[in-house]
Amino acid sequence: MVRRHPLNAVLLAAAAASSVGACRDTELPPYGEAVLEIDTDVLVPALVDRLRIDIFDQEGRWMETRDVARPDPRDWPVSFGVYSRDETSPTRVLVRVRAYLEGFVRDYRGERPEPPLVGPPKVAGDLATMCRDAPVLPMNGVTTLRRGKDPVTKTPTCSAPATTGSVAARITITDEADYRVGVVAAEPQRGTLRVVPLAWSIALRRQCDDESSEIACSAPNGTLDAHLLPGDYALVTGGAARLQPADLTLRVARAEDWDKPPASTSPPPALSPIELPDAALTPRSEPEPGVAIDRLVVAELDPGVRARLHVDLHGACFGQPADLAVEGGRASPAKARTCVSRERELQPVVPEPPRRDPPSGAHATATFGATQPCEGTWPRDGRACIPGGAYVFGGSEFRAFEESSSWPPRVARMTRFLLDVEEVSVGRWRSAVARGFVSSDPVTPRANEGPLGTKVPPTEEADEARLLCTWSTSPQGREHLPVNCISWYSARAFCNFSGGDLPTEAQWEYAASAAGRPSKTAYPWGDSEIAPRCDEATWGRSNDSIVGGGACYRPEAFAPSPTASPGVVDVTPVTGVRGLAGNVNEWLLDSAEPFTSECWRATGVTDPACLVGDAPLRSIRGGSWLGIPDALRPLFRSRQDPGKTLDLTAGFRCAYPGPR
Amino acid sequence: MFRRSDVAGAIAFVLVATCAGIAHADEPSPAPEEDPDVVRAREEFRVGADAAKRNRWNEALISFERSLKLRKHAVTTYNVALCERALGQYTRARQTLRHALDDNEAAGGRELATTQTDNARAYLGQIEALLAKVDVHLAPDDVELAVDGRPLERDASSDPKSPVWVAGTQPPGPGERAPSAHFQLAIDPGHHIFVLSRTGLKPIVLNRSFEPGQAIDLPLALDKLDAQLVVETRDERALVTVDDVDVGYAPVSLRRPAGRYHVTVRRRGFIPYAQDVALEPGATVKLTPQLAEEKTALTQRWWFWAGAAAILVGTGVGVYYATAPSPQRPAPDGGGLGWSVDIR
Repeated sequence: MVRRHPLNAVLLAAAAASSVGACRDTELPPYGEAVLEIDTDVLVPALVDRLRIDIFDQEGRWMETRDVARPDPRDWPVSFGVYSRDETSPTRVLVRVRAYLEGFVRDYRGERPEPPLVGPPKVAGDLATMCRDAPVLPMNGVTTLRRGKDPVTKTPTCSAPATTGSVAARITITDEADYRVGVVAAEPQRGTLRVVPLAWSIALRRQCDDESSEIACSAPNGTLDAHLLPGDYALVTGGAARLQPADLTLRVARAEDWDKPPASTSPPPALSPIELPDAALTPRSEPEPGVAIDRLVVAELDPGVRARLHVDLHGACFGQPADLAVEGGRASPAKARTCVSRERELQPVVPEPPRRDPPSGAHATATFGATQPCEGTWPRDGRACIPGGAYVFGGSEFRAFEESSSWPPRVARMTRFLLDVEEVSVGRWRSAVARGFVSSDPVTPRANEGPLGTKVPPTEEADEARLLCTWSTSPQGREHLPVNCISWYSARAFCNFSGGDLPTEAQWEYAASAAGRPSKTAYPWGDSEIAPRCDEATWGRSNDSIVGGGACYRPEAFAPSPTASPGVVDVTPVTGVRGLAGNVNEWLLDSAEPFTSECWRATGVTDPACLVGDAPLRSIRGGSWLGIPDALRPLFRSRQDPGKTLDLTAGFRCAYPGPR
Repeated sequence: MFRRSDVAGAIAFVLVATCAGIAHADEPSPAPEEDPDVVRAREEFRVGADAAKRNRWNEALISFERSLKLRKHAVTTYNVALCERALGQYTRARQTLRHALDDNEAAGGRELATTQTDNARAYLGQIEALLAKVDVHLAPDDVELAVDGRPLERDASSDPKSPVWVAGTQPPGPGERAPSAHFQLAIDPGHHIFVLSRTGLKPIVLNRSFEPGQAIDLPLALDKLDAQLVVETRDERALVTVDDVDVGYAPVSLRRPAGRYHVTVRRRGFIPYAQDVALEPGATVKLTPQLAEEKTALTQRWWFWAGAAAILVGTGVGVYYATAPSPQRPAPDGGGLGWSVDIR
């Protein structure tokens, strides 16, 4: 940038005066030039406060880059220029602009094209479909398949008949030898410290859809060893487990190779390297895609023409990275694609038409994620109104913990909705039953017809576990406590009966940390550096101090708290929702998958959710009366088998469509 | 995050252990002369056993420790270990269980019943599965390290060629020199606070959490710990750059890797402020420059330059008409950023 000095002004004045005659006589036309004016419809600085600009020439070579901070809405629109000294031919320039939030960056290791979406795992509903879709299981490879709840085939050679869903895979044997097949991983897992695989068996057939062609079957939860002749075979799983979806990872190998690591079947993601002419100046970081609006623009530079281009960065494009179509270390402008204004939609990049009207110089009104307020007085009828808005869903706090991680983050635009002020109580459940509600899962909630127990049971399947269930078929003075020992299926059925559904993870986290607040908070009630006291929220009441779980144990308070008073601070400001941290964990609608999964990649910006029909695990959040302080934080994700009936810490609340 | 099923299972061991395990005083039997220490030891033992039955583990531990100080016995040591285990102090429990077994062996195997030695070995196995095993990588390695306010201790039973260090077994105290740049650490699952100190620098405090049985790398590259740079000024529209990168108008608060940075604060009509700043890992540096208005020397007066301009313009026009100057091209427009890119 040229530093201003009065002397320069004098010289410029002199030059201008001198050029008066030149303009009259022989003034040169300007270079082909475009001034780009970048604006956005999202809230600044709440959702974006930086702009990254990358310039590529028409051959796709990366020429320049710049990253500027623009946290003040008055600093938008942001404008800069590109020009070409070629006085004879028009040229084009490809510009990439990314608006994002300070601090949300990742290492730059080249362009990382998104792998294509292949859809959720298929669950076979019948034998013919299962066999038609059975993938090939490569020798010494692994494949993960999802089985459903309902049986689709019998396994006549297995000692225990198949009473749950099955998966099938095809194998091709080329050499006569001893082979082993087995299930090497299963999700969900059950058990205590040791992983006890789900109950399954694995049968070998000559023909997948012909049960009479079954040759052999493994012992329950064992591997199948067989001496096989060359040919094609089918592996079909059975199992006598509790009816539930499950992901099974199958493996086949020669018996002698079984102890060697299996070959990886997933190629590493391709990274297309691309660098500035001076590689040392190539930036080492780039905006995190989930919280960036990424837009490609082609500007045409015609000799002698100064154009002004206006580029809007729409919030609908959050999380949709542009595709530079990198080949040979260069972008391909002709093949590049970008999101312009619609969620999850990439379009070819076409030259941006010049702006005809004079620029206003004023920042556009922030319409994306504008607050959808709740009119009237809330809460009412036991429901709180959660105003609509946009926020950063996820974060880095528990990034090191694979299952609890909510990384990478993404911007989510939330539609206004209603949420139960309190967790569903025993009394409320009883009232629904009296009005005709029937749980879809007949065994839950599990009933305890006596007083509550006084200690955590040795295992979750022990008879004593029921003593900590709050529900009873006849009132036992626990009507005000939250319902626990309830499956996801029953919880969801209750919410459907009440006119709503379980909240999604995005809804729950939004209500717990962001709704109605200028920035996200560490706890539902606000920010705090330390865990709450035992009277401030309900947690850590285990009578055995495992990892801080016993910090709040008192024999006289060995139970969840009443839903109306879960803790003196556990009330969310603005909305008045109670008990989001602690008391009982809360079932959520989503399938429990990492935020890097295809399921989450496929969802959009508005009310994102990962909803898979037959999911072996469902998300659950909030922490519980027995749990650790980490779990009280809204960003802490947990997961649970949806069919689990004796989870002493699992409860729920319902969400409903917002007022119209 | 350990699963809730894991928690229940872990609890099972403890409850089963405590239901079956707290050794009651068949022994030690009173000495013939009723040594007062022995009498007190027996009383403390009884109080401890009583508290354990009511799941008051802290109280039980205190009583058993008092009893042990008065009279050493493998049963009392064993009970101390069970209390430590019930309180989630697994590394301490492991160490104490080993002491109990060693003491029993030293006494000819007569102080602990067979079930107790069997249980002790089983608990040791279970604790091994619960402890988190952390591969610590320190860069640099000349730091003093304390975990939860205690220095580390070498696990005497580990291979001297690749020793394992343990957190939580030493008495509270300042950190000690880290054993090496890379070492294995056994630590209780849960929350821990690591304090790393280097001479002449502020200590760095890190919170880390570990799951039961987790095996994980813990890189602690101190020099790479971010520092915070805060620039505040009462002047409006004062633009801050760090190493010539525009970071916005003050006030700004930035996280940057440790290192040296050149910070400038500029505002039209004011003398720019420039400062080289050294950021230490984990430190916060705050700059509060007060920009000074540029003095309006004669050469700063508008009318001086206006007059000079008028003279020069007149001269320029005259020269132009005399010499037919070459044509000019409009300068590129850099927009609000003042940035114009030449696509060569």
